[in-house]
Amino acid sequence: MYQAENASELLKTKRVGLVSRGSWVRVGRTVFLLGLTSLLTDISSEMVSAILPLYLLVQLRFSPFQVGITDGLYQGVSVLVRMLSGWIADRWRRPKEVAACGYGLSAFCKLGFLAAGSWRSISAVILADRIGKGIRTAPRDAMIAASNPGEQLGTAFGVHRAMDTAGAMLGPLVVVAILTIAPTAYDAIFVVSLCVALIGLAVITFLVENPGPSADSPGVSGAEPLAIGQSAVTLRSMGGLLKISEFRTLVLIGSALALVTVSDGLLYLVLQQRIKVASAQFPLLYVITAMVFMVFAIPAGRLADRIGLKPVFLLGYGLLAAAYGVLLLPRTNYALALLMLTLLGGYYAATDGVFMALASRVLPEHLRSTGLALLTTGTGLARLLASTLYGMLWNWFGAEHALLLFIVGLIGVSLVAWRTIYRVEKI
Amino acid sequence: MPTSFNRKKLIFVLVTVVCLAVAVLYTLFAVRAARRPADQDASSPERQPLLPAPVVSQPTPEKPVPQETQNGLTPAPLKIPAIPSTKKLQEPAHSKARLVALNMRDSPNLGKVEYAPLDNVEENHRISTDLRCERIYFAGDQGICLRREIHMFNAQTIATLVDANFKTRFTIRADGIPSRARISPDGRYAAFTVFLTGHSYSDAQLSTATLLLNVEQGATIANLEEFQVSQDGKVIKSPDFNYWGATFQRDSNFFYATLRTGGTNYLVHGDIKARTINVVYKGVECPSLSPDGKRVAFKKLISRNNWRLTVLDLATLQETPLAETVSVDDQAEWFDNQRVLYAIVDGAAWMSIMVVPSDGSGQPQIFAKGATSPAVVR
Repeated sequence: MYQAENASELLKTKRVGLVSRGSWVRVGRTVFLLGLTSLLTDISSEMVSAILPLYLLVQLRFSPFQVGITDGLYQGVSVLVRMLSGWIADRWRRPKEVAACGYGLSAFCKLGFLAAGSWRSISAVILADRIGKGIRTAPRDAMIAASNPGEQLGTAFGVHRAMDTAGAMLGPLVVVAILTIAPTAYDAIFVVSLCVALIGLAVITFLVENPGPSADSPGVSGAEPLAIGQSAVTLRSMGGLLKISEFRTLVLIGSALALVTVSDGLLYLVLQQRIKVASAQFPLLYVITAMVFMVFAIPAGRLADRIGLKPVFLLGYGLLAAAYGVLLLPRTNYALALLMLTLLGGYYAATDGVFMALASRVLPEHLRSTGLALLTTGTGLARLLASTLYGMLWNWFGAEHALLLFIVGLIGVSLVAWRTIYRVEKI
Repeated sequence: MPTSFNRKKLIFVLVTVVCLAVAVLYTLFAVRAARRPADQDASSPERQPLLPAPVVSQPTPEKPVPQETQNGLTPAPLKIPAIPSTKKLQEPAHSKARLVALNMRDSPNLGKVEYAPLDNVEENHRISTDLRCERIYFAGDQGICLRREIHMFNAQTIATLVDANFKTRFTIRADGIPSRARISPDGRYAAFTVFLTGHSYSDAQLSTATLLLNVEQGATIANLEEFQVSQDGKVIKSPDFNYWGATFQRDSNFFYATLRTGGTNYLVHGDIKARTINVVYKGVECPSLSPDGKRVAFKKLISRNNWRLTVLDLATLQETPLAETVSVDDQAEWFDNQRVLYAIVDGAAWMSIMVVPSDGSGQPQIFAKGATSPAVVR
């Protein structure tokens, strides 16, 4: 069983060309439904994100430092939870239930926002919301991978990410709609957000089936992990994952690339300084990036299925380096800003899902959630470090030189990645 | 198997329908509630904020049309009730030593500017104006009043420069919500601080901005972040600079303020004409310069959300914690060279202005009950 799922086996199967059937049909029901869950959940959470700072500051009258201060702590907790949930999902072979717990927790946090009044309670709710996100991500991606034969993996992740991003863009629009007809009705926003999240939770709970090697008896008895001679999922097997050289390479490469990736917030800040965007228009930068991401997620996935995951993945980082390059041009105008945002969106489309697909291929199926959690933890930590690193470089050398260093880093790591991941695909 | 799956489908449809119904009904309910601004206003005292900043519950069914530019050079024909009403003023409000502050007692007048003779600030001596603010400051016959205006995704601060009769002279808009405000002793310059909001709650970019104004012209001179900063003779620069709480020297070209960078708060000394700022000392927030210019009163962070009112001697850099042990999150105001005024939360939702000796001795006493944002005008 494990052998059949092994990367080398999968990679030997021929890469298929673009089939005439639409991506939606090809990737199957589970991916579509998981995408729908993500779409609804993202509508819900982005509705809250859009108004939360204002809600805290204006309605509850917190000071901004109270709002920003504990962010680091949350990041840490979220990392721990992610690893744990990935491992539990694998051990119990119930990624769906674990993911649903995460979606459920985040959904009920919307009620918490309404009820919470004090600074302590509201930070507890934000923390719970983060934990929910930490819980669901890895099991969900493992399910996407499990429900798809290897040659459509890129497309499957593309479809999911496109739906996910669509939700993120719809959320603020719903807020605009509600606030237009009922100004300052923050409670209505939280209630609607809760309802949307609950529908998303219902989709995964009632419509999605646990995938699994034992496809003939789905979900009936997940309690016989040792029966078929597969290795048990223990805490030790988590560490054992890093002994898989292909996976170890991906973790290292992914983290190294994340380390030379400037956070979006900082990039927008550079852009804002150069073209003088009013802070009211700041969200527009996110919208443009997300739109490009959404539009190109599926095409990028299909391209990856056709020409290989690695070229598309590295192409994505090429786009990122180009985006930094645009910021270094002596003159900046709106057209160039738009180009930069498009390149950034393209980078997300070409890397976000594709990287998970790459990892899914090298991970043994029974440890996929754990492995994906480990991978995102590594890249997440590197990303945090990258912000600090960029801040320091900015301080020492100025914004332009810091960017230049990051471009050099990106190209360097990409070249290494080209060699090493190549070896992975060949074994 | 198929039957159980169909049952699941049924439950799913049921859940979806119920959720949609709740969402739609609640929104309609909210729309109806929003159409009754009168009710909403009446209920607002119970929905008092937990951290009682002065509340300016603006019942704005009609959105005020922003007529000013972002940096607002327009002499403002804004809809701010400008004429003091309740009692007629025979003379300019500040011909004598007065306390100017905000009402934090009775809800109809909550947030309105009031003034009283400095030797008797009892409630029955306070005269109310129709000017509503979240922060008021007066000096050199000039006043600055900060209000907030809430839009869909952001909030703006409306700073109005008012004359001695509380008449609006200029209006300046800035993104963010109101915080500190100060005017130089000679009335030439004003500075105010706003809290800017980030784009999401995960955003650590939440920050402050402090704008420097020319009071005479009603124009923005600079955002302090545009000034060149030096520390120990070296120019420093970082994207994470945040300024708040400016206080002016007598000659008014120089000022002190708080600069936060890299997680540390610094006391900085600024030169308006040269557009430079010098880092002076560490750990000072919301400085307030004494009338003799030798000391600053400030809030010193001792633990999270807990500030100790402290006085720093600028010559010896000696810190003296004042007798107030309750956390003070306010800009202090010197009553004279021996006493400091500040506001604290008093009771459920109100605030009171307290007075405490500036040498660390004595005990804090209530100076003006049910008031906040003190400005001593002599």
